[in-house]
Amino acid sequence: MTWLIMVFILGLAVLAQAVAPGPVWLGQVRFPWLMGVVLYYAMDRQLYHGLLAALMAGLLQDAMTPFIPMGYSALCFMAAALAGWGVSRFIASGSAAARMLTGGFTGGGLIVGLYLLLVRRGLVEVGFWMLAWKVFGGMVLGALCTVIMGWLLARLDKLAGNLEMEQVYDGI
Amino acid sequence: MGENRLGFWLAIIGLVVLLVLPVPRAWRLKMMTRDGMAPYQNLISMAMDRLAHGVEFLGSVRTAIRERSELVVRIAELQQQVWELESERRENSTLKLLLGYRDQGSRKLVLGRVIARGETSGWWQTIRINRGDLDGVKVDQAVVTESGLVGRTLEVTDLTADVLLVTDPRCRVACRFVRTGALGILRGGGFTAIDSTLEMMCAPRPFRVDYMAKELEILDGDEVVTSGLGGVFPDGVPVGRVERSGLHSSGLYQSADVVPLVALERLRYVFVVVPGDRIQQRQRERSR
Repeated sequence: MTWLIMVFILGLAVLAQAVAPGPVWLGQVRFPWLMGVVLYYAMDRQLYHGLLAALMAGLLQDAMTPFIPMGYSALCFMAAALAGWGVSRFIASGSAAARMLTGGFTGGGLIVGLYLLLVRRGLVEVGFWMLAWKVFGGMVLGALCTVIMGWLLARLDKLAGNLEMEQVYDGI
Repeated sequence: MGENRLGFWLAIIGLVVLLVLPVPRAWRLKMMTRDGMAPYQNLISMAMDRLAHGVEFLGSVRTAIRERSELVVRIAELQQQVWELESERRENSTLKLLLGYRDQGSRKLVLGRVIARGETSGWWQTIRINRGDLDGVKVDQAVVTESGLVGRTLEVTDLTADVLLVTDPRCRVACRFVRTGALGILRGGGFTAIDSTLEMMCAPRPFRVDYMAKELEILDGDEVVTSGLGGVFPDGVPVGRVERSGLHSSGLYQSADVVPLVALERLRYVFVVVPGDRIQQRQRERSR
């Protein structure tokens, strides 16, 4: 059931990310719903859940984008999953604040990581301030999406019986 | 523990496979995923369109009746113009035949609905439309609206096509100033924070037109159209109007900022300019 929910929610997340435009005042960064899913599985479930969610999320994001070579987003999402897992395991777990901070920093980190991979191949032309603006946008939206996705998925998992009652994320 | 390890190594192997996948296979995987998602994107886009129309309708009931009567008159006028143009087209064809002129006007317009604004990662300015290879759309075809140039097709699957907007810095268009005939190369100016709303896909900065001969006079408000050079964009498609111009810092040529004519942030329907024979070929294939 975990895998079914993961695939379903990743499909919904990529559609939401593709359809809803990013706000211009946050550097036109898309709402990182996929990252929210990845971080939930990395922070609240096992590491391999997070990594496999990252692989699928990366595949979907790269497939839906004309320029990005396959695997780039998956690499970034996996790094995000590792970071999320590390935070939940060694620093703080469960609280909404920890999740929000992790989402924020990971959101900004994803923008930088993807930018470095893309600029190496000459695929993006973005100035320093535009990049900084995008990173800021990524942090704000990352924090938001991670908390919303965490809340939503925890309840879905609870309904499906994938989580014990006491394990359910109760950050909000 | 065993499941953990298996899942971990599965993810790592999956990543390596994705990274080293040969380009044709990666391309096929992309196309399959994109075509698989297209119906759902289409559905969401239609639902959002309906919702937007509903909201617009509720807000404009008062003016709708007046607009309707105005439109009836306008349609009658346009119909009159169509008849006149039809007559002129026939006359033109006859004259061309008489002159032995080879017909270059065999392009057709394929109507497409915008099903996604911008791509998923948010780095480039693109739109996705619900027309693809099965409708005769190919890579590097011009995309227009009734107001002017929108961009060019970038990647095409069976069911969808990604369009790179003219406002993207990666998009270059050979263009011409109508008044002077000066030629130049236009590139997108990217986006800016001005006039931002959540609805906006991009707030286009003026385009930049470079490499214009410095002895030609360029005035504010001059109309810019595509020159047809390069083969992607047909000749004479309106692009924008000059906002300001001046000598480039190198002193070798002039540059101008051009304001786009098309409201790219509100695109719902666009036309892809497709060679006519390709559509007929596709229709023949389908009928078989």
